[in-house]
Amino acid sequence: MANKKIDNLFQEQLKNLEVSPNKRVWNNIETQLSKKKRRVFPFWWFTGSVASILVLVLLFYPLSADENQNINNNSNEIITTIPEKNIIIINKIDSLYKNETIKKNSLLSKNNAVLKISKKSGSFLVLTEKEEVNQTKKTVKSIQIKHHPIVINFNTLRQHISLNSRAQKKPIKNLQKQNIEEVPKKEEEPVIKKTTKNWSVASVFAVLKSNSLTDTSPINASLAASTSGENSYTYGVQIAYKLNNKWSIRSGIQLQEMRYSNNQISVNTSSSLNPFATKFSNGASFSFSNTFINESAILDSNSFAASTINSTGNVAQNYGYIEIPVEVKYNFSNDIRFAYQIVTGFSTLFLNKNEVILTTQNFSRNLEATNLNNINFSGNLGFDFNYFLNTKWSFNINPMVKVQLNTFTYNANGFAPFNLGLYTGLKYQF
Amino acid sequence: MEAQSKVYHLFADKLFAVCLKYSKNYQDAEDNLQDSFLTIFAKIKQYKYKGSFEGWLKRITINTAIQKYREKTPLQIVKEVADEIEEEEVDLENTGFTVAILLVLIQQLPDRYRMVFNLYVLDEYSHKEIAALLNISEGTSKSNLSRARKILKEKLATQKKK
Repeated sequence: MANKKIDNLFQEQLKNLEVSPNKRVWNNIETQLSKKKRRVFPFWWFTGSVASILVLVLLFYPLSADENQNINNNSNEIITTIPEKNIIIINKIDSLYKNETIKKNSLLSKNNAVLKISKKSGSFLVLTEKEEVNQTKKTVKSIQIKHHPIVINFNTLRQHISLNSRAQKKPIKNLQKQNIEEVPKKEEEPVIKKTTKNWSVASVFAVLKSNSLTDTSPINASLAASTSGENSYTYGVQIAYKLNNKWSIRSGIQLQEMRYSNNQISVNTSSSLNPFATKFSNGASFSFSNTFINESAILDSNSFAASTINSTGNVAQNYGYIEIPVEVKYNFSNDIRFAYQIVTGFSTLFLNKNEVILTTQNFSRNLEATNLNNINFSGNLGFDFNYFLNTKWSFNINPMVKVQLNTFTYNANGFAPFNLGLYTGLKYQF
Repeated sequence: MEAQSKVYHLFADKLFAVCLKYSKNYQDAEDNLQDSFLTIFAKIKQYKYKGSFEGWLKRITINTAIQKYREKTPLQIVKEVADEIEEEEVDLENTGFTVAILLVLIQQLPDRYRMVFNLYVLDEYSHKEIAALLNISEGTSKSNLSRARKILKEKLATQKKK
């Protein structure tokens, strides 16, 4: 059989073939293996930080739950007791006015006005007490102050109102006593309601402006002073947990991109032996100069060195990360509608995009930088302004500065990237 | 790293020959060898002492080649390595003229024919196994094999004339 002959020929010659591969194969394997070992460390660091945050949450959780219990009980008590109080006050005032109007008919119209005011101040009482839940005694004082302007107009009312406020003190004390007795019964319900509102999820979108602290280029030393940051964007999801009224922590996952460009530079295709040339990961190497060469100059240089291709062009470097921030927020405001917070923390950045686009008059290449770290960190600082649309939804604007710490493995010419971002988002609390 | 170096240097020659047979050129074979060893070092704890260690290594190498064949995208073809390949093929001639010719003939086969011929003739896989590995029918495997043989015959004939 012809088939067997062919099969046998190949089997005999090739079956036990041994060929030594080039040494560079082992060298490549060796570097890949050592890279993997290095990668393990920062990842542990990252998981460690997540674990420590979990521990923090667990430590703070019982504390914040206790606080909520107290607040809840108080607010419940007062909400239920206020109507009674108002009834008492208004009734008393009414009866007092009635007495007055009987005595002084001429004052009737003014008294009506006073009645209106007193009703308003009655409703005002409810508001102030709602806000200053824990300080019922203070609100009583403020009530007195609020009443004074009226008292100046109607001297006769002075006594009654001070009487009223005295009368008010007594029922509150009594009510507090009653409520203390009622506390054990009410404890369970409010705890559930409050603690479930500590979590929030937000969608995030931001416009980023890439920058550097130094005026150099990570691609090639001779491109210094020509690097400019471009606008890019980031988007993702954030989760926050409120530890108490002042402090909260947040994390999340975002896709981030940085963009830099060098325009109007001259590019040389160059041998990899040239110490000033930049090697890219697919083996291509180029040397650069940031002096823009005009057409006549190119002709001159060509006549001197015909072997190199010299042309003018632009370099754009884009690199992107999967960003996992871990940040602490401190709340300055007490407003129900509007909250402003200072934010600080760090982000772990996992490289997921790495391109250098070289465009010249003669050619364009997609290259990959060799000196970017796969994992690096950034320090973050910013402000978070929150506007609450209702109790669950809020809109936030969050300007941030993020300084990257170890972006490059080597040879970055001192390039220190940071970005300014204006983050916006819609937050849902639950 | 030392243990890995020993494993590599013990088996690299045999496995590189496998890579050369399954790849269409020297460069691809080197890539295949590198990826195979990275897989081997990552999975070495999974070796269960069933069958010979060499057989296990060879199977991983062949699987790597098959995976590369499956994943083949236009991007890989674009790779700028044209100048390097020719350099290396000159080295090959030291291993014996006929072997070099046969190897080149196999490498010149269309990708699928090369896979089927290697698996069936040189590594004794059945058509059923080949069909499963390459995601083709048994019939396709058989016809690919006979076409591969036909091409090889023709090329051997032209070689003899020279």
